[in-house]
Amino acid sequence: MTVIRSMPLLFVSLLFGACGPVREMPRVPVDDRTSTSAAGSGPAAAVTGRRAVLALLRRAQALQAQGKYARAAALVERALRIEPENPVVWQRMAGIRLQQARYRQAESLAMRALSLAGPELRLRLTLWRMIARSRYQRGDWRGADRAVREVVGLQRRIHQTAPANR
Amino acid sequence: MPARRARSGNRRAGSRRPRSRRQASRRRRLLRLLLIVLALLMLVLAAYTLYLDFVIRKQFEGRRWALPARVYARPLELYPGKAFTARRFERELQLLGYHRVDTPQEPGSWTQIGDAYLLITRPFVFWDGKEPSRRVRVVFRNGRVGSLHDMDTSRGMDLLRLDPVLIGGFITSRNEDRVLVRLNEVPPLLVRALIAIEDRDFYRHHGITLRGMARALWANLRAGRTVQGGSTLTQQLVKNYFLSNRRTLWRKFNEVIMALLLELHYDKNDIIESYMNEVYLGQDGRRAIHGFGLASHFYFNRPLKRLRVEQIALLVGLVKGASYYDPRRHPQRALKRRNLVLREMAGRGLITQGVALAASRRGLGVVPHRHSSLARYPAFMDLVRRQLRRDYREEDLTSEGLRIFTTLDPHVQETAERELALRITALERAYRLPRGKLQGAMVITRTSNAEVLAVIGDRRVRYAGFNRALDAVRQVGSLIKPAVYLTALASDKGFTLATPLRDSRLRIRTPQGDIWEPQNYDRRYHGDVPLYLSLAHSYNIPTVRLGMQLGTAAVIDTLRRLGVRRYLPPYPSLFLGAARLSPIEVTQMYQTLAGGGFRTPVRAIRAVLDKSSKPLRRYPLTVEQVIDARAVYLLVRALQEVVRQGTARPVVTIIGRPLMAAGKTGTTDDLRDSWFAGFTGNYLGVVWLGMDDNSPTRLTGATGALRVWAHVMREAGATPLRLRPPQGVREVWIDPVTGQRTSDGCDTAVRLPFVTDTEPEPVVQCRKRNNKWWKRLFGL
Repeated sequence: MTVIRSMPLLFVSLLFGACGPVREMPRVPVDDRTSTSAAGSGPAAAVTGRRAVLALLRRAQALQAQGKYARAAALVERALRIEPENPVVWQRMAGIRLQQARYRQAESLAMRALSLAGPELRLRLTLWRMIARSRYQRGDWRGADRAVREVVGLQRRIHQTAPANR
Repeated sequence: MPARRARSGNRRAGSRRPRSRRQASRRRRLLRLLLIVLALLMLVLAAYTLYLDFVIRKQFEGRRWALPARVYARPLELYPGKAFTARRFERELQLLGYHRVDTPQEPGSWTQIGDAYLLITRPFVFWDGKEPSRRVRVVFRNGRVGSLHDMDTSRGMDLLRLDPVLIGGFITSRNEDRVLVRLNEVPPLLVRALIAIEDRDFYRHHGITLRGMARALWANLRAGRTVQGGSTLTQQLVKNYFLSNRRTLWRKFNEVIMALLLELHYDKNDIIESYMNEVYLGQDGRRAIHGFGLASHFYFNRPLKRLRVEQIALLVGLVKGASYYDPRRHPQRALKRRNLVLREMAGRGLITQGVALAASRRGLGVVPHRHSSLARYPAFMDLVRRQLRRDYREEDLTSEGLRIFTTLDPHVQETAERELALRITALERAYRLPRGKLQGAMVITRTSNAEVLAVIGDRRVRYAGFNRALDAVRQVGSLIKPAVYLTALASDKGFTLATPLRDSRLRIRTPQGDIWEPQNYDRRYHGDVPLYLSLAHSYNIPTVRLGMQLGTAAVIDTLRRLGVRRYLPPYPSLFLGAARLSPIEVTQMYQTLAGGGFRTPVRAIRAVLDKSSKPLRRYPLTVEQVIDARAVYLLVRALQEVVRQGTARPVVTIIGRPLMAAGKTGTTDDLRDSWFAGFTGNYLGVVWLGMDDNSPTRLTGATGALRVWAHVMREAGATPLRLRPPQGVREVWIDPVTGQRTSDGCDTAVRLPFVTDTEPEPVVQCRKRNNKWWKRLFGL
């Protein structure tokens, strides 16, 4: 009982830390494909669409901050056409839906991002937080609980690896 | 005498008086009757005038011009590094109607200097914002955008979006098309020239001119029939609005009344503006070109405000008779008419004699007629229309001036059209099929987001008839097998890609009591086959056995999740594709596989804007996870094996470079349908070939549809499919014959992905090549 009663508190503390996609900008994992095609022909960003994607995401973020979600989403979609396998772009889309309170779509998009995220721990952490929050908002407590367990596990792993990285 | 006369006079008077009294009263009665009739007539006339007044005001104020929806292709986006060739770029500019010039000076013009393209883009309002006109420099290198620069700042650009190609419109049953213009957008010279030629007294008269009517009457009397209208612009407008083309007195009467009424109510400028949007100026197939706004695009491919003097003169000259003076069909007549207008303009002081002379020396400057763009991509437009019909009424599409942004990629569409036609002809020759009977359909989407890039519904690609891509509901054959294998991989029954499936004689008793004995295509049994190879070689018997183990309900459930909505017969024959689907439905099914188990509805529209570019509706990307991503990953790896070593091997030879495509062939009984469905890194395509009367084609999926698919993918610039394993998938080495795990790097072993904790144990040593006894010893 006490566990269930303390769930909302747990959520609040766990989720709102990193859910705001506007505030948080996870490191963009470099697509291995692009780096191979870029080899020997200048910087990767110039050869691929990375700069175009970043420019679009920047503009989308500005629109999102102004509450212009539909236009922001349209820009993120353009970025997705350029880099469909970049999980960060999918995560941005999820973030917009989350702000629009379109939780089911937010969760699906975050799951899609997750399926592309590979072992990137911080990105996975952000995504699981989004998923937990989407489920919680939809009243899916069981699903939210599973997501929070992922969050906790990832936090632990990040703690363990962090000192080594530094 | 006088008395008598008087008397008689009196008598006469006496006898006359009652008569005259009678006459007078009769006359009075007649007069009264006449008055009543006259009053009634006046009343009727007044009522009729009021009615006309009502009609004309309603028409005028409502300004109910039928404004057809305009449909655009996807806008081309360029960024450094994008795979795009110079040839494709030139084609895009051609479709956009950009002019090639020596020195670009206005939006929509370009030139080439060395390997660089210099162009001035057209400004455009999109659903996510405006794109201003830009002066840019693009260089293509090795099939990619090498560099992209803004000429104004000479700085590199991250991204450039061109205006989209107009691919058609939805026009009314009256077939009217127009581009609305406001008077302040019309060059003043055009307005003045129009008035000078058509109605000099426009700003002075009240709707009609007696002089004009008298002149017309005189001409008509002399000719003995109606030859001249003598109409003012106001009268012409009224005529255009309502009246038939018959020249009767009654119509003339109506026209005069309405013209007077119109002038009574409205400003001259309102009237001229309406006229400029209403006037008939040309014909494009069954599409009627109305108004100067559209005529300017139709003849010169540029907006009204960018017309030159002689172009203005040509359009004004066309008012007199758009078909008689048609500059494309009768250039000499048109030229004479134009120069007459130019002289008149100079005579009235609108332009100087020098300008008129110089202008009349220039050519007509009419752009070649592009065959009715409305019919260019009929199958794709059909899909767009159907998707729109869910949200809009037919009238909205034909009259509200909606701007519809679609997903069509003209390059992919045209490549697919060309290759489909070529391959079908080649197949007919190679297999000695009756000429012109083999039909085909194709749908291509973008693998990553399910946007429809191309649709072909008939081998005659411009023919807007039966749309096979959407409406040919045919047996799908082996195309359905991935659903059976996916059901297995996603189940909790422990299936992996290495699970051996038994390929031996199988007899099934049907509910009707018959015995069904499925056969492999090669009519042989192959013993125990690992699951992935059974799919790769499209073996029927192991598939049915697997399906029976899973149950029809489970397989149908998978198909529903993949996005198939149509009825599926719940019998074991379903596992071999005894279900009918259309190419677009197959596309949806494979799209969910390509999406890693995330279903995204196949869509042809990105957004709809109203005529003032306000977004009405967007069709954003949506995803829904319907199947475990790990199971789908395993399945797609098996589908790659179909192409690498299975039934779809010819793909590799045709394309000639490693694409790692995933796909599946489909063939139905007696070779009636030839299917191929598959995807690469960027494109997903579904091809169907067959006869409309369902007669045999002599083609399998591999000898027919696959060829079309592979050639289209090669020519359209397909990119390799590089899969990212989702979390919870591990690769281990497996002996393909035994399905057992081996130590790393055995030369007979293959690497296969497994969902973590389902990898087979234990590790066995490498099997030597052709060492069949191992199989017997460790046989499963």
